Amino acid sequence: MEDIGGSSSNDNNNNGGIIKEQDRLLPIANVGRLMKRILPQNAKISKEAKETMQECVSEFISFVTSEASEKCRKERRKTVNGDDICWALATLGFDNYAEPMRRYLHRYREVEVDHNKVNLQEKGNSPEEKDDELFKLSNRGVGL
Amino acid sequence: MFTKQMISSEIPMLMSKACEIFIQELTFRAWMHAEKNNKSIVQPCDVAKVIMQTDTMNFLTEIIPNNLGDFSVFDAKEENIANIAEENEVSLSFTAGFMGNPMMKMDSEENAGNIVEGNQATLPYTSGFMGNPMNMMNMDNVRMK
Repeated sequence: MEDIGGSSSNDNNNNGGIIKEQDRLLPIANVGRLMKRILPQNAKISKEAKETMQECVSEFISFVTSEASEKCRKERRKTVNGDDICWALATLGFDNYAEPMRRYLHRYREVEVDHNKVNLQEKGNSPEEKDDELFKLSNRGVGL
Repeated sequence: MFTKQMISSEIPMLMSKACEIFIQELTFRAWMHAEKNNKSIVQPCDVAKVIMQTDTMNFLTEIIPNNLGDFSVFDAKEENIANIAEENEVSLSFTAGFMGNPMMKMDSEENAGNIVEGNQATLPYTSGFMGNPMNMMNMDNVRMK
């Protein structure tokens, strides 16, 4: 059974105010599942490779969000939004990510609006509709 | 002066999807590197190789050494691959000896299987293979079809 806690087992030596090392990273089980999904069935992934990927994806999050945050600071806005993330991706060389992310964001906002409208009108269809919409979004995102 | 900032509720969702794509892109490229070396297990050195070869992944170069301990491990693996290739070439006409070679026993059963399979595939092309190292790549292409 995989250790869901992450690559680091250093739990006991941390004080309350310090971020635990394992909390810096996404859970290794979730990362491992995503890795397996893209590979053929005969492929295997070593534990160390999953740990390397945990580090890489956490660095990716910091890299992108720092760029977006800096943009907001310069424009004297307090809230970082999805458009800033898309801009940051394009700026940092992930051009092929930025366009799918914009479309994903646009569809997400549509779903939110529809959901709010349905709530206001007190109809009963919203759960199914939203689930179906998000399912389509999920498929499209993976399809890159 | 550091001003406190907030994030929109759409950002966790958006970053989540971006991370999925990032993980799968990096994993697939690492797998292609592993496959090129006739391995079926993705290792950290495969990921490291991709990071060094891809411009957009340059921001990750600082965290790779820590994760791999040191690059001598990486170099050692490359050397090991070269050794396997040499043995494969030398033993083309000594199949029985190849199977009994003690060096092969040190590899995992899976790797041994891959090597045997590769060896069998190359037998019909002995003359071409011996004369032209590029044929190795051609045969890889043939096998992939």
